Amino acid sequence: MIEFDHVTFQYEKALTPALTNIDLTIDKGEFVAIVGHNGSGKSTLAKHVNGLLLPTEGTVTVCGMQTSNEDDLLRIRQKVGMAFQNPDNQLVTTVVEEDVAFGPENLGIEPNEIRTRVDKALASVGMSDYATFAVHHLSGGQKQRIAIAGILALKPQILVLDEASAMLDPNGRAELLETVHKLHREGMTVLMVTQYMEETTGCDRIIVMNHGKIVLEGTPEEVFRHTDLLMESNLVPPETVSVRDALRSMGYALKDRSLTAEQLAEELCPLL
Amino acid sequence: MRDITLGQFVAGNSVIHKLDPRTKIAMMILYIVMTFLVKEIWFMSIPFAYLVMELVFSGISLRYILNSLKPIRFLLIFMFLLNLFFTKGEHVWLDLGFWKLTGEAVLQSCFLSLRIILLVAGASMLTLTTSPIALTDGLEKLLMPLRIFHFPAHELAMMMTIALRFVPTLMDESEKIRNAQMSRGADFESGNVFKRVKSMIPILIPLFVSSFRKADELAIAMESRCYHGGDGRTRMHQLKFRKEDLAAILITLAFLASLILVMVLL
Repeated sequence: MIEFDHVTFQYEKALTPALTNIDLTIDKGEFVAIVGHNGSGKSTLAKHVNGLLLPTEGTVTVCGMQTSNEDDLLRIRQKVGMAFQNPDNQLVTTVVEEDVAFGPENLGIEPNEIRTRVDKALASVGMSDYATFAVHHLSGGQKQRIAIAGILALKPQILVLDEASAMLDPNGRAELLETVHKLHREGMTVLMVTQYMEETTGCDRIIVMNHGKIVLEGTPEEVFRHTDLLMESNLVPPETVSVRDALRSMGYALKDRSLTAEQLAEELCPLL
Repeated sequence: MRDITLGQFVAGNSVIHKLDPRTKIAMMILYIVMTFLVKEIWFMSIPFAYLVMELVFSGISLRYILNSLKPIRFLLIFMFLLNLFFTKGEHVWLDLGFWKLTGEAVLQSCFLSLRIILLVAGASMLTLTTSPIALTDGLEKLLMPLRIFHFPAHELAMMMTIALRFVPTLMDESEKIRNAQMSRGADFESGNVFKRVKSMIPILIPLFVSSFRKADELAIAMESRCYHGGDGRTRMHQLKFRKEDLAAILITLAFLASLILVMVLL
C-alpha cells in the first residue's frame, strides 16, 4: 500500500541527508509505529507519505501512485490522512463540525453527503456531542480527536500520525491511542510516528530510526528483545520491558511477548 | 479572556437573527443609501423609523446600540461643534461679535450628528444580530460575482475564517508570553503611557514569531486535507434565501421608495 524505494532526502542547506536509502513496505491494514529520537528522520519519513516532502532520490508509491506526480497529489492526500503534533495549529475553523467538513468541502462533495460524512466521522471518534462547540473550548485530546475526525471525513485508507500525541497530557494521549486502535480494528492502515515507546506495544510492527536510517525493524516482541540497540538510538524502552528484563536477569523465565503491564501480570501470577 | 465575544454578536432567536446573512448585508447597504439620500433633518425620521423597527424585531436591547455609539462620542462632539462654528446662516440667535450662532448652524449640526449616529447604529444592528462566521459566509457569497474581475472573494473569506479561529488561541498565547516575561522580571504595569507601550515589545515579538510558525503548520495541515484554493470547493452549510428574506428586502425597499417619494413630493 505504501512503498519506499531507495528513498534519500536532504533538506536544502543541510549538510547530511535526513533520510538515507530507505526501503520500506507497509501493507494494507497494518499498524506500524516509527520510533526514533529527535532528528532521527522519523517525521521527515512521515511527510513523504502524502507528498508534503518529495524524495531527493528514489520513489515513494502510495496505492499505486507516485508522490512525485503532481497530478496525483490530491488523490494521494485523500487516501492518506495526516494528523500533526500541535492540536491548535491544524484546526481551520471556529466550530467543530465546520472544521470536520473542511476536507470534504475541499473535494467539492455534495452538501448532504458532507453532512453524513461529518456526523459519521464525529461519531467514530466519540465527539458527536461536541458538533456545535467552539474549537478553543476543547481539551488537547479532544482537539486531536477532532483533527482525526476531519481526516476521516475524507474517507482515507491510511492514517499517518506525526507525533500527534506529543503535546497531550496522559489522559489525552490515552484517548487518542484508543481512538487510533479502534480505527485500526475497523480496517485502517496506521502509520504512527512517536517518541513514546510505551505507545508501540500494541502495534503490528515497529520501525526504529536513527540518523536517517532504519536500524531495527520487527514486531514489538522482536524489537524489545534488543533493548541494547534501542539504548544506542537514544530510546528508552517501556518500563514494563525494563521490569521484564530485570526479572529475567534474576532468573525468572518470562516470555518475549510480555510487554504490557497486563501481560506481565498474567505471566507473573502463576509464579507467585 | 477566553470567552471574549468577537465583534459584538448577541446570540438570539429573533426573526432578524434568522435572516440570511446576505439579506442582512443587503438591508444594511439599502439603509446606508437611505441615510445618505436624506438632505433635510425632518426626513431622517424615515431611516430612524426603520432602525427602530429593526430593533424591535431583533429583540436587541437599546443598551447594546448605545454601547456601540460610545467609541464615536468624541468624534460626534467635535463634528457638532465644528458645524456650529462654521456653518453660515441668516437667522441669528446669538451675536457675540466675532461669531454668530445661527439657526441654520444648529440645524446643520444636529442633522450631521444624527446621520452619523444612525449610520453607526445601523451597522451595529448587522453585527449584533449576525455571527462573525455567518457574516463571513454571506460576504463570500455576495462577493463571488466579482471573481470575474479577479477579486479574491474566497481568499478573503478564508482569511477571515482563520483570523476568527485564531483570535482566542493567540489571546492564550499572549497571556502565556506575558506570564513568562513577568516571571523573568518584566514590568508591564508601571511608568507612563509611552513606557507601558514600549514594554509591550517583549510580548509582541515572540507573539509574531509564534504566529508565523502557526501559519506554517496550519498551511501544511490544510494542504494535507486537500485544500487547493476556492475552485471546485463546496460548503456543508448552504445559505438559504427564504420567504422571510424576501419580505425583509421588500420592506426595506418600501422604506427607500417612500423616502424618495416624500422627498420628491415635498
